[in-house]
This record gives sequence, C-alpha cells and structure tokens, in this order.
Amino acid sequence: MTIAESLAAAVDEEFYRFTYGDLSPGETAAAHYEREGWRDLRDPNPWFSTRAYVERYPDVERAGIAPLFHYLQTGRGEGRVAEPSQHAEAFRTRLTGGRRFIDAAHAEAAAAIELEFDAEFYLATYPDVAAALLDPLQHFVEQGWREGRDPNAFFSTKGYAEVNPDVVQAGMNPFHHYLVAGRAEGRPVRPDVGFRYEILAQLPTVAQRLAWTPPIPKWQVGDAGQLRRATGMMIRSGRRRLHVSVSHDDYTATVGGLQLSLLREADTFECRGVDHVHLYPARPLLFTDSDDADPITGVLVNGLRAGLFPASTVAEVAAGVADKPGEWTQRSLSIHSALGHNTPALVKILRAFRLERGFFWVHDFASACAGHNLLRNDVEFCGAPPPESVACTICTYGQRRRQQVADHRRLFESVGLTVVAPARVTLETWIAVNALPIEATLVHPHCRLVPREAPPPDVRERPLRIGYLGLPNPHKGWPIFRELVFRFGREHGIEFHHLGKAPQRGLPIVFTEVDAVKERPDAMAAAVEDLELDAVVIWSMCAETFCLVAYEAVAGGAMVVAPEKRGNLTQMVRDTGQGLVLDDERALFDFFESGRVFELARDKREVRYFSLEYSKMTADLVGTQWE
Amino acid sequence: MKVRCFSSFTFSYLNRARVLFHSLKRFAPHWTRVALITDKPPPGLEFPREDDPFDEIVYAEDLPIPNFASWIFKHDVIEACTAVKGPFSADACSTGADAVVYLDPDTCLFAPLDPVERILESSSILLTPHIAAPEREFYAILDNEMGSLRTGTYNLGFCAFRTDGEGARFARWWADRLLAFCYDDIPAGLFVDQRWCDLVPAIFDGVAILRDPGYNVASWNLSNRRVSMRPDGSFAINGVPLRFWHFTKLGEIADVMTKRYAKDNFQVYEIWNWYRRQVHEATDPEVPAGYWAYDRYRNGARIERSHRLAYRADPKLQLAYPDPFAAGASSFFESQVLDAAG
Repeated sequence: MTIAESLAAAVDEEFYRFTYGDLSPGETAAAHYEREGWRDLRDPNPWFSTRAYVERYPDVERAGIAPLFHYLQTGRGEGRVAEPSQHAEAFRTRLTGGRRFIDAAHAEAAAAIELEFDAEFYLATYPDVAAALLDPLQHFVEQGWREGRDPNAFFSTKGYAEVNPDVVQAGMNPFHHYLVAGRAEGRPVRPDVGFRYEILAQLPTVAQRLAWTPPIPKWQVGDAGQLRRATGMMIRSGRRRLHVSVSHDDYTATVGGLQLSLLREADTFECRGVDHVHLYPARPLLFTDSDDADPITGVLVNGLRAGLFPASTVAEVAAGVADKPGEWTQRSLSIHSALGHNTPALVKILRAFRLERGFFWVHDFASACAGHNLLRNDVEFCGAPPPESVACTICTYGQRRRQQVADHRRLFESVGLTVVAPARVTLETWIAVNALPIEATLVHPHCRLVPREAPPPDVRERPLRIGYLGLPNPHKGWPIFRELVFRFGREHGIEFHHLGKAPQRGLPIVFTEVDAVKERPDAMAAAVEDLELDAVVIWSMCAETFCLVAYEAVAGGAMVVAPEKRGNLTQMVRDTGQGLVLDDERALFDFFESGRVFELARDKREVRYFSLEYSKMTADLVGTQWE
Repeated sequence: MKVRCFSSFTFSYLNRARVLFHSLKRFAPHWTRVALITDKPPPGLEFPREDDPFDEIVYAEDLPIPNFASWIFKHDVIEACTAVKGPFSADACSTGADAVVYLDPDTCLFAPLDPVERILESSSILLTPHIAAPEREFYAILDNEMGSLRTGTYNLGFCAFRTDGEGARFARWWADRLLAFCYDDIPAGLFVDQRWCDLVPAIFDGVAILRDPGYNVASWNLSNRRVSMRPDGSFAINGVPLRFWHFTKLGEIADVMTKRYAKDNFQVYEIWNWYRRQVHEATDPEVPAGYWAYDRYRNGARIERSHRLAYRADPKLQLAYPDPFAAGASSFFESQVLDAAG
C-alpha cells in the first residue's frame, strides 16, 4: 500500500475539514496531511494526535515521514502508542452545539429538536435550570422531558405523552417523537380539554389565598399618638369639607385602572380645597376580613401616607379630629371596595368621622360573593345563584360567600349608601345579585368617548394586527388570545401584539411596553393608534363592570372583538359599533379560520378615533351638591 | 313512599360513603340511610363519628348468610361487598319499607331522587344502563359499548325495587344468585352482580330502564352527556337535571378516562375536583391504606387469591375447613402453605 493509499483510508475527511477550516475544495484531507499537515502537527483523525506521537517518538520526526503513516506501517506492530486528538471532543459534539452527551440517543434527540427548541423560553420557565448554569437543550434532552418540562411555548410534553401512551411505553422523548414522526402522522399534541382544565387543576382554596398575604409585622404598626401627629400635620387648617374614601389598597402605591380613577378623584378634591382621608387594609385580601376584628388599616391624608394603625386606633383618632369645633361642615364618603376590611371595624371608623351616608361604587361583585367577579371556580360566570345551590356547593368560594355577604350587609345597614355603577348593565346585574338595603342608584361611566379628527393612516401592505391589552390574566381572556396565537400566529398573515408591562416568552407576539400613569392615562390608546392595531381581542370570562381597555382600544381606532354576555364590555361594543360580539369561543376561532377577521383591517373600514374624557369619580357626584 | 336506601362498602371506602350519605341527607332526607359494611373497624378508628350521616349500620356478618366465614372466604373484597347486596335486599323486603334503593359508595347525589319514587309507583324494578346512547368513535365503542358487553348492560352502582310483588321476587332471586355466584369471572360470563341483571328484563315484569342522562353519570357515558350549569345554580346533563354521579375509580384511571370523554366540558372537572376534596376531608387517617379485615388469616398472613379460588372450587375443602381464616395446626392456611412447599 502506498503512503497515499494508506493515508486516504485513515485520514478522516470530515474531522480534518471541521478542525482545520483552511483546506481548498479541490484538495483531499489525506493529500493535505501528507504534503504539509503533519509538519504543522495537524491531527489526521480523532484517534491520532500527531504532536503526541512525535514527542513520544523523536525518531519518527527525524525519519521525515508522516507520523500517521509511520504508525500504520510499523509503529502499531512495534507496540507504539497512539493518543487521541485534542480536537476529538469538539468534533464529536459538533452536531450538538458543543454539548457532551454520554448517551448517543440523547445526542441524536438534541440534533433533531435543536431547531425548534426555545432555550430562552426554557430558561425563563424553569429558573432552576438557569440557576444551575445548565445548558437548556442538554438538560431537556437528558432529564427535563422526563420531568414533564416543555421545550417551547407550543409543545406540552405531558400533554403529548398523555394522548400518545405508546410513545411513553417506548421510553421516547415526546418532543423528539413529535418532530420525527408524530407531526407527519397527524397525531394529537395534547388532550383536548381546554384551558379551563389547567385553571381548575391549580385552583387555590380560600385558605391558601388568605395565606398569600402575610400578617403585618408589629413594628410597622403605629399608635394613636403617631396618627394624631401625622394627621395634625397633613390636614389643612381652615378647610371646611372632608371626603373619606375606602378601597382595597393604597392607590398611590399600586398602578391599575381603579387606582388611576382614585387618583383623579383625590386630585379633584384637592383642587377644590377638600380634605381627603383614604382608608385601606394593610393586608390587601381578596375577601372581607371577618377573621380579624381589629385589622391593620392604612391611612392616607391628602395623598400622604400617615401610616398603618389598628382600625380601632383610626376610629379613636378620627373621633377626636371630627369633634374639633368649626372644622368640616360638609362630609362625603365613597366606598370603592370593602375587601380586606373588617366591616364592623370600618363602620366604627366611618361613625367616628360622622359619616352616615355615602356612595358605594360597583367595581366588582364582591358584595354578592367571595369570588368578586362571580366566576365559579374561576372558570365560568355564575350570576350568583342561591348560596345553597349545587353550584355554590362545589365552588371554591361557596363556603366563604355567606360570610362576605353578611359583612357587606352590616356595612349597608350601618351607612346609607347610594350605589354607583359605571354602566347601566352593571347596575342591573348588581341589583339582580344583591339584596342589600340601598338609598338610591346612579350610573356614572369612568370615561366617555369623544370623537376626534385624526389623519388618515398610512395604508401599506402589512399583516393584520391583532392585539391584547394589559395583564395576561385568564379572566381577561389571555388563554384564548394565546390559543389564537398558537393556531394562527406562525402563518396566515396575522401579526399578534401584546401591549402591557411585561412580555410573555416563547410566543410569536410583538410586545410593546405600555404603562399607564397618572401623567399619561391615555398611553394605551395612543399605543393602539401608533401600532395601528386593527382589532383587539378582549375575551373576558366575567361580566365586566366597565372594561376600560375596550374604550382605550376603540379610542385608538381598533375594533374590539368580544364575547356575548360580558357585561359592559359586550354592551359598549354594541353601543359604539366599534367591534363585534361573538357567541362563544367556537365562533371566535371560526371567525379567524374563515378569514372574516381580515374585514377588521383598517383599510377595509372607516377608521374612527376618539379622545377619552375621564370622569372625576365621586368628585363629580358630590361637587354639584356643594357648589 | 318509605324508602330504605343502602350502600355496601368496607372501611377503605368509608370516606366515599360519607360523601354519598351526606348528599343523601341533603337531597333525600326522608329516606332511611343504611351503611352495609363488610368489614371490621380498624384499631383506633372512632366509628361512627358523631357527625356521620348513617341512620343504621349493618355489618355483613350479621346478615342471614349461612357459614359466614366459609362463605366470605370465597370472595375478594369487591366480590364480597357486591354479594352482600343480595341478602341485604331480600331482608329489607320485610322491614316495613315500601322500596329499597341501592347506591354504590362512590356515587353522590346532586339533586333529589323523587322521580325514582314516582317510577316505583308504577314499576317494580328500576335499573340504569351503563350507556343510554350509541357511541360513534372507535375507542368509545371499545371502552364503553364493548365494556358493557363484558361487564353487564346495567350498572349496578344503582338499583331500586319495590318490596312487594315482582320487586320482592327479584330481591329473593338476586340474593340467591349472589350468595352462590357473585364472582369476577368474565370468561365464565360472570361479573359480580352485574351480568345477572342482564337477565332481569327477561325474567321479571314491571322492569323500568332509566335512560334519563341525569342518572348514574360516569366516565363510561360521558361521551354522550354534556354538563352545564343552570341560572338557579343546579347542574344539567343534556338539559335535564343532574341527579347523581358515579365517581368510579377515583385516581389516575378515572382522570384519563374522564379527560378522554369530557374533553373541554370543564364543568365535569369542577365536579370531580370538588368530589376529590370532599373524599379527602372525609378520610380518617386511622384507616390503613387498602385495609380489609377479611384480607388476612388470623396469623396476619395475607390471603392469596389462589387460596380463595382453591377453596371456592372445592366443596371438600369447604367441609374440611369451616373456618378457613384459622391458622396453625390442621388449618386451611397450613394446608395451602404445605401445598406450596410441595
């Protein structure tokens, strides 16, 4: 055998080209090695290190022949040792991005799934993998799939295993199976059980929900002296009018639709020279606090934080302040939420302020049930059936319901309350589900749409833009939007957008950060307009009391796609004509599948723009009586 | 109508029975609720508890069953709990009740069973079929239609009969058959008490087959039953009231079968999740897992199924060892152990 023949058989073309990228296309690796490669101490294949051979056997170098040839011709017979190339490892793992797999099947699986594996999603979803500095693909292939972890946002490892038990029996990685066989075979990818199944599987009990908010540490709680000093500094002398508001949290600390509304209410009172005291529970519970007779209550005075105090202390100090001669000849009250409050303790505070009447705002249906949006087990609008019904028996909120209704009854029986709903349909629902003594009812919307001129949009060829606005919550319809993205997000000429505070990883969704603040309350509407969203899907599960995002979408020129019987959401779409109402989820998917959704494109319809004119909430209602 | 309602169970199913009997107390408060227990209380168990909803507790060993020890030894736990339904039913015909209703311990009422009483005014025997509508899909035919062919057309998680006339005649016949042939032996055409009842419409007059989808809802008929909630907070199955659910095989098998057929009918999962919580809350930690008093020889050794089958098959063994639970010299246990040793 000639040198050339011998080397042609033993030099690994693929290894050599991979390791030394400078070979001309016309030359073989064996020829290059024979001519000059070995002189540069290049390795001819993974199992032979040229350098190690010549260092160990200097006579080979002196002989001036290619070390590999020497080894094959004589060295091997003489018992000389060949050491593996230092480049062997890199060559072996070249297909798996530098990952080392002990098991060849793992390497094969990794190579097959790498293209569709979403490492960013994996690390974001499983922080333990990220924290351990593990390679996400390697982790998934070697153990992650056995632990039921998902390789991307689209594929459910557990779901595929469940509907394809033969794959499990064969011990195969479900995602690998899906990519190399299941997809082509048209296999189901998950149980056809709908997103509500997951919500139910993870449904917390009331006790668990209560445990989410830990008790307030003692050192944070002030005494009567501190509250007196604080109020003394914060209350403006000479003001004759006082407004007390009550809600479920500190509206200056958290940002949301309700909190912005309360800020407007407070600012308006401030402008009118009205002293303003706001009461909120230090523990922001999702229920009235019937367990603690003297819960810690937060106090804001004219927008400044006075501190946290036992409710009884607030009542004691309020009585002293309210008794001051010549102060506050006019008093008003708005209750935006009683959640987190112990209502008998709250009533004592209101009495101390000499408040006997006020406004009760309908922001939710917490006065009718411990499930404040009347979603039985968080999955279906229930309309508050009789508490002894089977629906309430099997509902996670059922047991707590009687207590919460009783707590509200105490409040309504102690204070004369006018119920204010932001929409007619909301008031009707509230009346239907409550049997509380009320003084009167009012409808006062949080905002109005005022038509405005806007330049015609720059109409270019572009995909249809479908948006979701706000937090990705199930009861606001995020799972349905996600399902639309699953089905129509990768082709079909539709571009999905999410406008909110934080992106959801792993999905083909264009994210735009939008954070509505006091200074820019219409940021969402402006973003809808800037992005030229054609339609916004608001697939709420509950009866919306108002649904500000629907107004924001419409203000920005988008059409709203909404389900039937969702309170003011459905009503406003009908009233404005800026959108359409569909019967159910099947109708929604048909609407996309059939292509009718493209009729919502801005260039296929007259685009109307609106300004949002916000209400001043309670300030609108009491102001007129004083002027 | 004076109704004697009973369920047959062991202490391992006490938790489920509690859930059922609470539902009976709520939806059929005028019925007499009897717990038929084929077991002995495990050590340390406080039973009955003060809040237990049983009006009467009957132990199987107190039923008129000749040579009880010998008889029960021939049965595994499911066979035994099913077989005792027969003698109890026959006996119940002479207690002054107008009708007897049986419900499996893993059923639960969601509405009153008044229509059952009305049907028994004009019929003598009432049965519910496993499935009341044809299947369409391949796997549903295998699971549900062929399953019914193997185990019986009617699900005996429920049955009701009058204590007079044909009803009483049925009870006597059923008791006789179950005392002698209540075995899980599908190749021989037997599946505990169920296959026997395939004969009932042929043998007896006044048999009503209740095909109302609101009764005996279970994984095997969910493919044709859809749950919805009505505005008054009651549940409906295909538009009619949900009367009772059969929560068969609580656990992973039930989950898989339920998901396969309930699909996105999420109300099904709400009902199941609630049931799981109820059973969990009704569980006594004093009952050891898999406990059954008749599961062991008196020396504590577990009774092999092969021992039961050998004893069942050979009348000579039954005569030679009238108390097969005994251990020690010249006992059936010893004979089996010696046999095995060869």
